[in-house]
Amino acid sequence: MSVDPQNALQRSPLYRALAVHGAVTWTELPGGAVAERVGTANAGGLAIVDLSPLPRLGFKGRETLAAMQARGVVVENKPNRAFRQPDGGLCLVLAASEVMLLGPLTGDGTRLAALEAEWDIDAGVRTYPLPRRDSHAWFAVAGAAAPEMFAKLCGVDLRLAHFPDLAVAQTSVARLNAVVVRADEGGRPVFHLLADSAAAIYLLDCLVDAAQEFGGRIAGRALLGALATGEYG
Amino acid sequence: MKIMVCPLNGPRNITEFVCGGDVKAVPDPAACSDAEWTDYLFIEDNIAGEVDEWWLHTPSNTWFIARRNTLTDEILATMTVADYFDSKRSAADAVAGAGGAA
Repeated sequence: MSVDPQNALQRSPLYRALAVHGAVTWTELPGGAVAERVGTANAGGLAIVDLSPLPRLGFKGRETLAAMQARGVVVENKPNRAFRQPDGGLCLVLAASEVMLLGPLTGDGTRLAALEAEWDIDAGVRTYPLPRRDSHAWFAVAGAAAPEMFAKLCGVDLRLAHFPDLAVAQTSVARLNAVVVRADEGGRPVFHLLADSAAAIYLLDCLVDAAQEFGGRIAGRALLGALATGEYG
Repeated sequence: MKIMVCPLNGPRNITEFVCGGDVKAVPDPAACSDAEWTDYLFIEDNIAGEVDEWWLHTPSNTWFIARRNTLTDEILATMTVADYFDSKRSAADAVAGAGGAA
């Protein structure tokens, strides 16, 4: 059932922009409303999905990786690699002293909330949480043409053979500092893109413009679910 | 576009980087004179030749050291801060060791 995103306590920085791009069906999550479907037609070779209402969290500090492992996060000291978590989320290793945790696409934020709540400055562990949900907008770009589209916006070679599943690039996308991670769903390439939330509308415009020649358009979270289960052809 | 190699992230466009100035020894602010502190903060050697500089890869907020020729603007090497100061320390130890033996 669709809800009104304006009634949610938190909103995606893009909720108005998404409405402009077509009829949006919203699903309420604990942290806000996520666009489940945008428009009625299936996305072509390329789909841009706003995942900004989904939970995410960062940790930084010299003992971050050991602290994450002690709390059951699947992670190794491999900067610019991501690790899939048992709950379906991702742990991105940005440096030997920094990780970014992306919640599962279901929007279940209990594990990340627990990690944040367990953190105690008096424990003396040299790591501290970063509220990435407030600082970064989160897009997913799905489709085989995604590397070609990113080539117009970004200097890093994201071709599927050169940028494997779970690779991370911290680089400039459309002149914004951004984190790009490839995390395939159901064998189909999906690139997650995280960048300054204050520039989210600008970035959405850039992505839509770049995707146009590949038949791309904005889609809802349901498309990623359909990719994962193989329902999307 | 000019390419710089970040020690953490690999080759990237030069527009992703910001120069942080020469690597200089920090004087003890409690013990040094005003002139020494002013020299550290504001006065640059402006060397025409090879210099060691602080650089920042802004998307990942990674500070590192680059050796650059200021005449040709050629980047000769980039290294992590730990590697740079480890190599400086072992070079200083080698000099001290040679001095002790003489």
